[in-house]
Amino acid sequence: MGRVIGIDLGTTNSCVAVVDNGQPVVIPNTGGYKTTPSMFALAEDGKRLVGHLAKRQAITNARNTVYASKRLIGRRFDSEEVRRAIELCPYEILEGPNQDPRVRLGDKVFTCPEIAAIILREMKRVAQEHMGEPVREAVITVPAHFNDAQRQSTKDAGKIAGLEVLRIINEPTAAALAYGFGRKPSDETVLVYDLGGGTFDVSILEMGEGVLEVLATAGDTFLGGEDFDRRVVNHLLEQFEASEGIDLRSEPMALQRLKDAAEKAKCDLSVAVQTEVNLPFIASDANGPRHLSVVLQRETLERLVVDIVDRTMETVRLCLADAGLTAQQVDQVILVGGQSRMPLVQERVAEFFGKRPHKGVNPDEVVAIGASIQAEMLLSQEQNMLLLDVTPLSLGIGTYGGHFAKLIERNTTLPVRRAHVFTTTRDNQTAVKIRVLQGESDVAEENDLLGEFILSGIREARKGEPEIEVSFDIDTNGIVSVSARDLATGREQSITVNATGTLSDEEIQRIIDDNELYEIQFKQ
Amino acid sequence: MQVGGKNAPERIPRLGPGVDPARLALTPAEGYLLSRIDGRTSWSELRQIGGLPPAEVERCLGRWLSEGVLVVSAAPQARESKAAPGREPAPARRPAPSIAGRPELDPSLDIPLELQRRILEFGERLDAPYHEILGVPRDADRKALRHAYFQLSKELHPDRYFRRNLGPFAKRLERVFGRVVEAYELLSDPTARAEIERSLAAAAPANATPQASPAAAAAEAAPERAGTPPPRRRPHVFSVPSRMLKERKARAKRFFESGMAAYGAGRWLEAAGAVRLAIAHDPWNAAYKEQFVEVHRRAHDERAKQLVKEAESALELRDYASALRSFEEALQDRPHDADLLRRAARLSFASGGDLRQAKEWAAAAVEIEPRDAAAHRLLGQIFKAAGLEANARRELEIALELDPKDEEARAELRASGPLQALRRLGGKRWVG
Repeated sequence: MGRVIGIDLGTTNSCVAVVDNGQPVVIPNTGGYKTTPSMFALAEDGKRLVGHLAKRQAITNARNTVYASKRLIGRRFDSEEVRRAIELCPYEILEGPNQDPRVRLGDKVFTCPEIAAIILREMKRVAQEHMGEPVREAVITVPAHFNDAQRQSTKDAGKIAGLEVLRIINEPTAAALAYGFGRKPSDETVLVYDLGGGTFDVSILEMGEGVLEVLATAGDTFLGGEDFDRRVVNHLLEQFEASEGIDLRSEPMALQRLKDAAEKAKCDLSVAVQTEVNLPFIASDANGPRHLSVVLQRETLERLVVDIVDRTMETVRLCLADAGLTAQQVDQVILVGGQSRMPLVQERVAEFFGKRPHKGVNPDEVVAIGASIQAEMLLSQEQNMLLLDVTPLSLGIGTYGGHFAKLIERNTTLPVRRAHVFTTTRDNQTAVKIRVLQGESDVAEENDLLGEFILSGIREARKGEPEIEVSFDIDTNGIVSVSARDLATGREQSITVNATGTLSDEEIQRIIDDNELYEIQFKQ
Repeated sequence: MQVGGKNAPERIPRLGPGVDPARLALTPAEGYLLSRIDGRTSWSELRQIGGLPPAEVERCLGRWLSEGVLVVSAAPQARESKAAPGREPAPARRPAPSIAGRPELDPSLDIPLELQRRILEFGERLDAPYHEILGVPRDADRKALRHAYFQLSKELHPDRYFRRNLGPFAKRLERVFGRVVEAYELLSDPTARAEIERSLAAAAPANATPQASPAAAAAEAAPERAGTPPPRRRPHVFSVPSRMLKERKARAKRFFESGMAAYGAGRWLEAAGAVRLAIAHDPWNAAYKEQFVEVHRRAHDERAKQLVKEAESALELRDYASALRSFEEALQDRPHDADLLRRAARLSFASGGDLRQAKEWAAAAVEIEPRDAAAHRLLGQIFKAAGLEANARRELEIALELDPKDEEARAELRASGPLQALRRLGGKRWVG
């Protein structure tokens, strides 16, 4: 039996790890890097480029290079996040048949799971080359606040990449697993502050007796390191416009260069107090070429993003309230995600909790390590650790009058199953429609629609008489399934919740077939 | 008090020769324990599944052994036992294990029979009070709760048996684990715990009073007292030890009585809650269910009445949005109240709310009260606003027919014709 890898499929970077002789290790790619950019590009000659190669040519081939596609996966085309991505990304995003966003590269249209699969396949390849054996199974991490469609799409991506996904686990939970691994079993309350490239999560866990129990989790979908970059880019754009009178916003290549430079400057300012951004020949007009040269102070950066950092602390507060704890009751704070390296972030966290955050984990690698530990935990004989995770979002149904009836509250321990009895509202009604929603708003419309289904074949009776029991399950992957039973006849109804924004089985198979063809091509 | 070393054969108690359990003087709990003795269940298993604290089981078994009620023999070598917790216990060529008494036990599954038995036993105790589910004293502190919860999780979380073939035990395990989680979460929540404590306290005195009919109680207890397992499995509910059954019924009665008292005092919401609890504790009592229908209706009416009042005061303040919301909520309680439906529809229509919703309400009102001219007129007006001219005409005509003096309807009907402007407006808002 092959070994199981843990993959941190990040917004900007991905990382793979495996447990080797009882010790989790991060697997470096062929270039020796422990993380791989989550980028994919179609080169001029139709060649597929992944990771560092894709990143290296991203500037010159901006229209055909996809980055941060994790922001799109499992979302509806008409969602706020997709709208924002369309505004900002140099690559083309269009609407797929399931109201899902898709990306056009060259003359080919890719679904988001397909792009994620290409990254996953690359991580699988890295692992296989390193271990010298085929890899077929993986544990993949997702942000804690990912909803059902996003998780389902990530699972589909694994399938397309030829991986059986043993488990989808939450990134902060994985980080906590890595922290807890090999530690003496003592009672501790741990808070994970996970500020990644595109997402922000907070989870609070209780550890003891070899059990890791997630008490609460909270997140902000619209917050991540890229927002910091964007602030810097805007700052540079304004500076340039002020000094040179040229607006670079409509120049895709200039924007891409600015974005890269902004990210680099931001990272530099985590160690230095000032840095210089130099972009020669960024534009030209009648007076000849123009160069961008700006000195950026750490203080300036902090001024630009302080409100974002404060917003993260709001989420921390919310999570603490959900867990019923005060900041003083948290024994250890673990910082995860590249953006948590920023001194301002560390200061704010330290200030809030009155203690320095834990230093022992590498914020870029800890999630993949945790994923590999989870794989080991599931499959090992001894099983001296157990994870009790929760659902991040409430699950329920839309009811009469546009309300949202929660059937499973957020932060409920998984797996969970709740049944609810429904009835008809008209005489001789033989079908009812059930809308399954996920979210926290009391207004049905403001939550994510996971899908809707029609329960038909109800026996004819007076209104209110039939009793149809609908069960809602959330499994340990956080994936939702629904089943229904007519209590009078005992007849089970098979239901498929057709989630918008995800792929059908046929589509997945077609993509797998496509990719296999491609694989053969590539190897020759 | 460990029984034997790791490798010592398990001791299997069985009834002594010529012992007639019916002649023994046993408490129901002891009867239950005796009924678990089938000549195949080991001493240590009995400690876990005997329905009593292990020390109590130990004491009982010891006493019966000394009295000659029981004799003990060694287990056959190939038996499943704790000594060999192998992940895959040699699937082939296993001698047919002892599964009598529990037809659900399946040696071909990927988990030891002992665990299967444990899951089954646990599954039958799911209705027990929460602290019993966790196996902690009623006054257990948070630390003790957590300890029990973690230990049970390690034993019963489905991840523990990842990828193993559990057959029907997968579902059973999930249910059992779900209940453990529920018990922990509720007992850890001070408000919920206080509530649970109250209901337990309320049930306790009732417990001491004799049950409704002594004959029925005897009938319940009889199979347990027989001591040996009955030839076939009894249905699920009756395998609850009679002691617990009694407790639950007593509690149910208690809830029911307090519910009826509340009902008498006109506190319908409270009454409905209490009767619901009674049914949850004693789902076999038809009288509770019967009464519930009535209490439930009154509770809904009561809530709806309050909501309508809220709506009316909102209307006085010209807060149409709030009024509409209250009407909507009231409709959840009284979805078939024609008057309510018509008022909600009119308000929604008049205040420029969702036209489609207004139509649905008005249509429902008409359906319930087909002879209500005003409802037909309203529906007609709504249709008209939506540009559905033919429908509008039909409803207005019905309204006039029902009430020839309805001048408003007449005027509407007269004005209706090829009104392009209205059609344009309506077509956009919803298309039938």
